[in-house]
Amino acid sequence: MAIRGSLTEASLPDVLQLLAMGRKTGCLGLTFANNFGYIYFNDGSISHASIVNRGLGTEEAVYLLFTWTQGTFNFEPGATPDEEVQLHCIDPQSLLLEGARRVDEWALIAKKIPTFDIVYAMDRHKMMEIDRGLTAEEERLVPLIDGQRDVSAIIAESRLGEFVTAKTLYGLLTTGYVIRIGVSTRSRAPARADDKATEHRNLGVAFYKTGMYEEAQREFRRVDTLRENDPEACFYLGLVALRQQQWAAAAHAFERYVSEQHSSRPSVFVNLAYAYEQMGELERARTAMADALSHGGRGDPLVQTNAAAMAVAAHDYETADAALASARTLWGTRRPPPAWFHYAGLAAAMVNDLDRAIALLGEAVQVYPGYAVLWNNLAVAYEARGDFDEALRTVERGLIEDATLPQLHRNFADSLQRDGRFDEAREAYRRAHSLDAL
Amino acid sequence: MTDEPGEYDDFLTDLQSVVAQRVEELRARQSAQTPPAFNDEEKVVREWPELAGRIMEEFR
Repeated sequence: MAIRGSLTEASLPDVLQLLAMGRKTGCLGLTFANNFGYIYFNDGSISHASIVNRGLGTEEAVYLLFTWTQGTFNFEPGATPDEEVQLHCIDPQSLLLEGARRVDEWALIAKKIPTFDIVYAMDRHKMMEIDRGLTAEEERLVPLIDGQRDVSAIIAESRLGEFVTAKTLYGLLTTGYVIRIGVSTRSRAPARADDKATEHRNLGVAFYKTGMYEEAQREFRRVDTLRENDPEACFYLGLVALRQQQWAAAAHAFERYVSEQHSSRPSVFVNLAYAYEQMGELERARTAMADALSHGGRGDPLVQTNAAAMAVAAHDYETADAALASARTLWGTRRPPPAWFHYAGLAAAMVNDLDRAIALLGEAVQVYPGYAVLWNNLAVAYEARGDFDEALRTVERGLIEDATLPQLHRNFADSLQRDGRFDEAREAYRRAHSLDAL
Repeated sequence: MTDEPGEYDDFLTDLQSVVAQRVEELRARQSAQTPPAFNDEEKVVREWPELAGRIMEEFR
């Protein structure tokens, strides 16, 4: 379940400590005015952090996020960073002290450098007058303080990071080596619609990935207004609608993509097929899935897995089996996702190949032990094969992962009943029934 | 057949449900190989519960 709150009520250091102590995995998204930052956690450690449209490294981003004392946060459990980002393993505690120090220093710096569009120049006379020597950081900055570049440009070119650059500039200002010339013309010029659209697009993707769907929708609607027929805006508006279970709106967005864009992508058709399936329009769903396969999806294991899921729903286990086998081949040595194991186990069991179902689901619970659904169906496969002791052990293990899954209670009840533990079985049946009614 | 149209409608409704049940039985016989437990939705989870496993969130 997502955790949301206001940074005025719970500060970022408090939230970080809470997530570290709980050894959480997921993504903490933070908004402040029109800014958005996020911190990924893996088992309570910080694995990656960034602020959208700022290009900061993980530690720099976290330190800057500490200065956001207003705004909101949202924790999306289970979310993981993109594959291409560099991963770290940072104890949040180790950043708290430095973070607190920087917050105090930022407050001082902001008094002298209130915005990053200010242009400064060196006062050479003052430098000769008070010759105190320059630090290494100052040496790096001096050639860039040329009466042309604003603070943002100096930060970008110095590669010292926002905090060190601003702090160094603060030192130079305090000694009088640097004087303010004005503000950059760039900040006075209206931003180009395309640049603005890219900024909104970046924000939208970040909001989407951290489970902030309403905010993501708002950003992609802006992109849609600024850049006509933007394919990504259309795609993400469809995804947001899927996440909000607005199936017709999702179908409309993906249909719009198909009609407006020349290059068709299998992911669009897969999502369109799912929206149709949820709307009960199975024939259209099948057509969309066929389009996904014919538009390059045959070589994509995720498309094949989704095609298999649709075939399982239609009781076509032969087609499902073929698609799942193809997906596994396409993944090669990479591990298939849990949904693949789920459908592969189910398709095998449905054609009474219980040994294969048990092997697949057994492998699944080894690599994805957190999914109660996999434990449940494995228990049913054991029961169907007559391995009742193993079925009971498996169902008990599944209940540790999720005690709210009604099927697990039902299977637990059946196991107890077989053991002659009738009172306990009755209680488990009652739990299964009440959970199912929810 | 009765004189009351309401009763006749009820009779048709009953008949439809019986026919539907028979058709379901035929379907069950067609997939007779499936272990009964796997046809019981109170025991088995058929649809993957996470949306992320059923859609594609990457723009490709």
